[in-house]
Amino acid sequence: MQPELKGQIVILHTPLDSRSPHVVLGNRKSLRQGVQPGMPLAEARSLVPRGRFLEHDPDADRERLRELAWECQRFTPRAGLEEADEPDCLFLDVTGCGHLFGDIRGLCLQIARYFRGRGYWVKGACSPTWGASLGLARNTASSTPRRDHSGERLFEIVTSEELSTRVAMLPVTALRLPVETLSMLAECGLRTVGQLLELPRSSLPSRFGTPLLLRLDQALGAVEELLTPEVPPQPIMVRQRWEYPIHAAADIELVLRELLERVLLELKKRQRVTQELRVAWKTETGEPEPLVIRLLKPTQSADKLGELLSLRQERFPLSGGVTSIEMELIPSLREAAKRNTLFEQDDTREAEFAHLIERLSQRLGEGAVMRSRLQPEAQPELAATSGPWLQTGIKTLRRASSRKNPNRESEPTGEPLSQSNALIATRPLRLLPNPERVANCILGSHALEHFRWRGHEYRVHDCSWPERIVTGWWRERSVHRDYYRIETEGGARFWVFQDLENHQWSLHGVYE
Amino acid sequence: MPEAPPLAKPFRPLPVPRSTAEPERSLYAELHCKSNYSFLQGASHPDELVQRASDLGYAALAITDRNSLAGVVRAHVAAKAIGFPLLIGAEITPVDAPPVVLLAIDRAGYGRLSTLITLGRRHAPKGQCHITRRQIADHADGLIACVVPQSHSPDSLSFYREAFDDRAYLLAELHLGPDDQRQLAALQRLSQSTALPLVAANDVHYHVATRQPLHDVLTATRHHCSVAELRERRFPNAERHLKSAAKMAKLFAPCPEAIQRTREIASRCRFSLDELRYEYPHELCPTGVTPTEHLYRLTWQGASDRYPQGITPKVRGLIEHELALIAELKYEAYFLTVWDIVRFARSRGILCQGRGSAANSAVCYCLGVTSVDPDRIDVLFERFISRERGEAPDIDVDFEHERREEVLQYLYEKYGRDRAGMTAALITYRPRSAVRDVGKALGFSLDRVEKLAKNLDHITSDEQFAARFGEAGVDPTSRTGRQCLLLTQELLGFPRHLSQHVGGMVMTQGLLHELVPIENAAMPGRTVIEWDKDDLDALGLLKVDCLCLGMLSAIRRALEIVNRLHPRMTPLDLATIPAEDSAVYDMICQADTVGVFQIESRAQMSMLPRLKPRCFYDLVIEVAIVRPGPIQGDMVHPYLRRRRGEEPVTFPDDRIRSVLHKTLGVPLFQEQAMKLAMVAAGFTPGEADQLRRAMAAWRRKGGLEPFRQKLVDGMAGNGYDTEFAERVFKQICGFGEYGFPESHAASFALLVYVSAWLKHYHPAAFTAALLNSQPMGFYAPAQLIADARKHGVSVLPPDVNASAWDCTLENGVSGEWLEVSEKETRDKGQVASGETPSVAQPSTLNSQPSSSLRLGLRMVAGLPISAAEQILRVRQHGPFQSVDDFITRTGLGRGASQRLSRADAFASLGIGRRQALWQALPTHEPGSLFRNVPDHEQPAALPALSPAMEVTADYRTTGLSLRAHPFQFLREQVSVLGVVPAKDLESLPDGQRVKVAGLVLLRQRPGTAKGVTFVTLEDETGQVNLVIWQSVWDHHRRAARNANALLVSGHLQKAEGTVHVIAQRLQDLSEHLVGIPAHSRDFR
Repeated sequence: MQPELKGQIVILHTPLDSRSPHVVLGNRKSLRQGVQPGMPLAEARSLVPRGRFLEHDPDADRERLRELAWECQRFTPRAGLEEADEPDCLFLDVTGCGHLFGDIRGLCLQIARYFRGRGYWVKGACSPTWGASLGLARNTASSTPRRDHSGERLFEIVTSEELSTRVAMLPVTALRLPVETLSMLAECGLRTVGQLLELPRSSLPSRFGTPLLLRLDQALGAVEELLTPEVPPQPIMVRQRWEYPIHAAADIELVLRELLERVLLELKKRQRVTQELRVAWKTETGEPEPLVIRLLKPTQSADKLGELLSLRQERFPLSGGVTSIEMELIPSLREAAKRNTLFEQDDTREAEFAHLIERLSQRLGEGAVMRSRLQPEAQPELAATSGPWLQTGIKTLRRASSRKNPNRESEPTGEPLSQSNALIATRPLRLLPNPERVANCILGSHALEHFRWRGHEYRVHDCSWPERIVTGWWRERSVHRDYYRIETEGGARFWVFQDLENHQWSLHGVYE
Repeated sequence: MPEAPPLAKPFRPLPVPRSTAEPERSLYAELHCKSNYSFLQGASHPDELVQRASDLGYAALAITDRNSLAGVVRAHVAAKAIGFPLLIGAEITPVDAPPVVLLAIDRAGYGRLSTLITLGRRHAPKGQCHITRRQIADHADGLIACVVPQSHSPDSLSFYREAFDDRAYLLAELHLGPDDQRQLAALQRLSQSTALPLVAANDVHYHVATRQPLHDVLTATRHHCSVAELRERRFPNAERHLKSAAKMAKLFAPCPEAIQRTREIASRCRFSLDELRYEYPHELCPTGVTPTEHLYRLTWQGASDRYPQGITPKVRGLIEHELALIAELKYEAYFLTVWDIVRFARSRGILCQGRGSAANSAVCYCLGVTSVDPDRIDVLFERFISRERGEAPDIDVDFEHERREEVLQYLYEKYGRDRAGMTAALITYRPRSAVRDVGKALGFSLDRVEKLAKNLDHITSDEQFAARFGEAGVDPTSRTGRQCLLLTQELLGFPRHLSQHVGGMVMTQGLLHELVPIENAAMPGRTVIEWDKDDLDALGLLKVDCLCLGMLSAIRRALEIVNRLHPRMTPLDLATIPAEDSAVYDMICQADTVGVFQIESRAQMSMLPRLKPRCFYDLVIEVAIVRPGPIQGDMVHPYLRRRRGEEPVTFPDDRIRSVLHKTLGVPLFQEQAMKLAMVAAGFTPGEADQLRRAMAAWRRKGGLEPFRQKLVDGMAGNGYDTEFAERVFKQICGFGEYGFPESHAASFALLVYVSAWLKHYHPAAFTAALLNSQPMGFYAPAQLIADARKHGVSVLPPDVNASAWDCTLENGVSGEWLEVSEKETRDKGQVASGETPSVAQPSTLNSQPSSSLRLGLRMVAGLPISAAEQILRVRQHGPFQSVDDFITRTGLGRGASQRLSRADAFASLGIGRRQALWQALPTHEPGSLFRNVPDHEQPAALPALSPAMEVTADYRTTGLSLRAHPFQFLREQVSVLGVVPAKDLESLPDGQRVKVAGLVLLRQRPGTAKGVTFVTLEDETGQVNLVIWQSVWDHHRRAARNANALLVSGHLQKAEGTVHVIAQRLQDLSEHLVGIPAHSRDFR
């Protein structure tokens, strides 16, 4: 969904790092410029230098098609996807739905209008078999906005009496056959289904393979075809309302417990776990912010969620009486873990630790429980990052589970690990947020003999060899520094550096 | 046509000696230094490192590339030029021990190092190296080992200590890391406990610190990520450069002996690459005969064969002069090697011809290396044999393209893989590849990188870079844009990887792998050395170029057919084809040269009627004149003008007349440019040869500048005015890489003449030979056949009952056919010759000279040769009666029978392609009970094919149709639009507005033509040549670039017998010709 692409020439192609990237599909504008599916990408680029080239993502296509199938539940309870590697068709079982929209014609008009209103081009057909419908749909002109008034022409409707004659008129390409079979049929001059039906049935399979007969029979209704309806995942939601507001915290807690048990029961029934719980309130004074509880580890446990809920409750006691509570549980995509290992793995410590983080985050707020991570960056300011533990934790989990990882993080191979441990040993425990300029510098046999920092004068007693860091030329500012570990006569130890470009001295960290 | 490669070869200027005159070298020598021949690791050229080390006053520098000696020759050449001590070594990374820097002490040690690398590389896939510490120990003699401590494992350190004894050291490398002090102390302790003396080094990756960004880019490229994602995989600072001795001394202040030892080690290494004495293989002479005697004997013997009427005094003089020069420079073995290769090829019936001026010498003519009589042309023997530089001569030998591998394998077999190897070709960064890697490293989107790379086509100057960046949407003044621009320019010319040279073979007397490491090539059965031809040149090593040429295959095949059809006293060959036949020249002058070597291209064809070649030397000029070089130098027109008498033929003086008289005062050949420099500007032959080399690389940063001064000064000294001198210099520049040497042109001209002769007198045999040698040449089979038919050859379609694998000549009456498939004569072991029905009696055919050309089964798309052999075998027992009969008897799978039916090869049985396909389609279960029972199925009623569809199907299956031209079916439609057939253009006046239409045969955009594209269309009556200007092209980009067929309106331009249509509007007709596969040869 990228509205900025509207009106542009858009071309989808296979990944650029594939062996020979080629065009998967282009929009109408690109087709008008001569771009064709299967064309090498470089050629397409030469045809439409101003085109927008995007990587084709079949998984996303399928996802989107599935969502469209969910939307179609407004027309029929049974809507599903074509069975194919890369489906591009929706099947709607409209048996008995026509009268709700006047008649079947009215239904088709509604469907066409609905999709056109959402910016789609639709092609459709309605017939007694899936095979015939698909073939008909693919062989009708697509709807254009101009034909809005003659909706009937959009969707061809074929009755069971007309079925065999209409199917015979279809080209063989309408039969969902492999490309090789199609080209073989074309070579034999067999263009329509009718021509095929006139040939002795027994002569076909040895020449064109068995799928041909199956597809013929499916189109004519001799073989039944099944539809798997797509049903959207439902969040689990329960609600409690009162005619008169309730005030007592204990009452509220009791209600929450009860609601929690109800949602968890449903969750267990679905064999899912959850990582997110929402509670929305209505009080006499209005609608306070809904309460959201996120977890590091997915769970089904009522105790755990209950505890987190009450911890959170304590921080934000509700003001005024509550008139309604709505609890929503979002089932995660992962199924409830089944223990199949022979021996129990001991990950209780890890689980306990995760629970601690979750509890602390509920109690203190997500932003208060931070986590820092070492980054293998040469520049000290960038060598560590920090963020709310819950959010980073969940984010990394998500990234690990997502299909593609564009950053292609390969194993570090440059420096041996032992060295990076040695590196940490040389770093100060406390790094100043920004390096601070020091004054009154006197240079001598040590790189730095004397300096003033934050109003105190220091005399250097001992000083390490320099560590040079030259990096970041690809960033906004590059860094050229010589770092020293120094010990003052008073026994304080600092990490200072000299900027090699302007020769200024700064203090960057304190050893404690 | 080769496209002009921008910024051609990295012509790297030699270093300049250190400016200060102090003779004393400092105390420090760098022993661990990678050049950019450690691909994607080092970030400096070897010569840059040498120059910098010399500037810093180093005692010595070692080039130690990772498991490789690929860069040492370049470093050696640079070091030699300034007299700088260079150590030769390599960083070896064994799989089971820490890496170690091995330095060669003497020649034997160097040989062992090279052998060690060969072992490791031959044992691993291309580009990798697998060495064990055991192997290192086995090759330890004569080498110094400097161990790079990684994870301290005392075990392997003491292993090195034992293997190398007092020649083992421990490297201490400090790079201003987090805790150098402690690290140095630890190393000192380690050194004491292992008894390996500590020696300082800096693990140099680039010569100056400012190369750090480029090094980061290379590292990122190596890891397939961007610089920002490199993190700990990049070095945290830029300390791995060549540092001054003072800085190194300060770093190692607590341990001064580590610095002193560097010089101690440097003085232990006495080896220089100059010691590599090349020894020619000895076995070419019979025992007891010296190479000189042997060559004399062979030459004079050959001379008397070549000149049965007696040797002319001129030739005698030439031979004596050349033999003396060869003896003086000791090149006998080289000539004998070439002679041996050629002799082998002859013995196998492989047609070959030598090229190059050494090849076109009288000696080579007598040895049979070439067939161009030195009497006919003026050769400049000095070009390849230069007295001054002791450099090996260079003879290229062309072989038939399909059989060169036999020659290569013969060489491997004769000398063994220990003594023969293929020359490497160095693949370097070009603008496109450079910007691709830099762009990716800087994190540009792949889309943007592609756009940039695309925009960097045909770059000839540095200024163009910035402009092209802007066009690709990268602001060259922004920080990232500037970085990308500079890094790309810096990366240009960096070696990227080694590939194999097209045909250079090196052979030695001793073991080759003691001279240079040998590694596996990507191609199985090939081994490649690590040095390319420039490296070999620099060290004076022998190389013979064995190249392949499709036309030789075709000529050999055509001669075979002709000799069989018309047996004569002496069989025809390259040297005995009747010379200077005026009928042949008549044909050439009319540009009737489809299929003829070299002069069949459109540019050549348009030149022929203007140049009107009438003798052999005219062909030599014709071959040389239509090249980017002379065109760029603005010399074609002066020559033509002078030839037609429109401009007086004048010479500034007699000296120049002696050089240019043959080409009417216009320099056309490389030799002339060199000779001009010698005669007019006083260059020595050696200097002139350097000039030739510089010409090849002048685009790269003023390599020609020093010569310009010398040339202008020299010419001024000889009394020529500067304006003339500048013009000569400009012409020399114009030669660039493409100035064609006369000696090559002469060898090619002979093939031009021979192929034209064959085309004129034996068009059927010639066409059959061309078809059997595909892919080659300029035209697709459809055009070759159309041309043959135009010349009265009758052509018959491929047929299961008549065709062999190859195209054959068929006696029209009896249906017998003549076998010309050399495949079968060669493989007589497999197919007994008695069995093949293919060997017809020449006598019966001879009585019927009019024979027609039967297309072979090779024309049937996708049919394997094994299937054709099976068909021939079965067919001897009688022709096939039906498709079922064919399937049952041949036992071929349904793939083969379907392909044949699609190609309409059952037509002679009265079965059309659709019916045949229907019958060929059913799958027969192998081993089925009813397998041999004929299927009595009713023929299916399939729709018939229209004539247009038949033609389309012909094109799809065989690439051509004998029925009709596909355009014929469109004629009615297009003539309504006022389209003129191609043949009618002749009769229309110049400047007339016309509409033409046809299939697109080819598209060409010469780099020199300022964006003009030449397109050739073909309709059923002939061909139309289009000229499309850039603006028209851009406006009709889609049709112009992609259409199979075009409708073009424009106006006619007629000049000197050539007809062009200057296109103004283009319209795509492809959809009217659906199914005709695009056969146009675009941009080749």
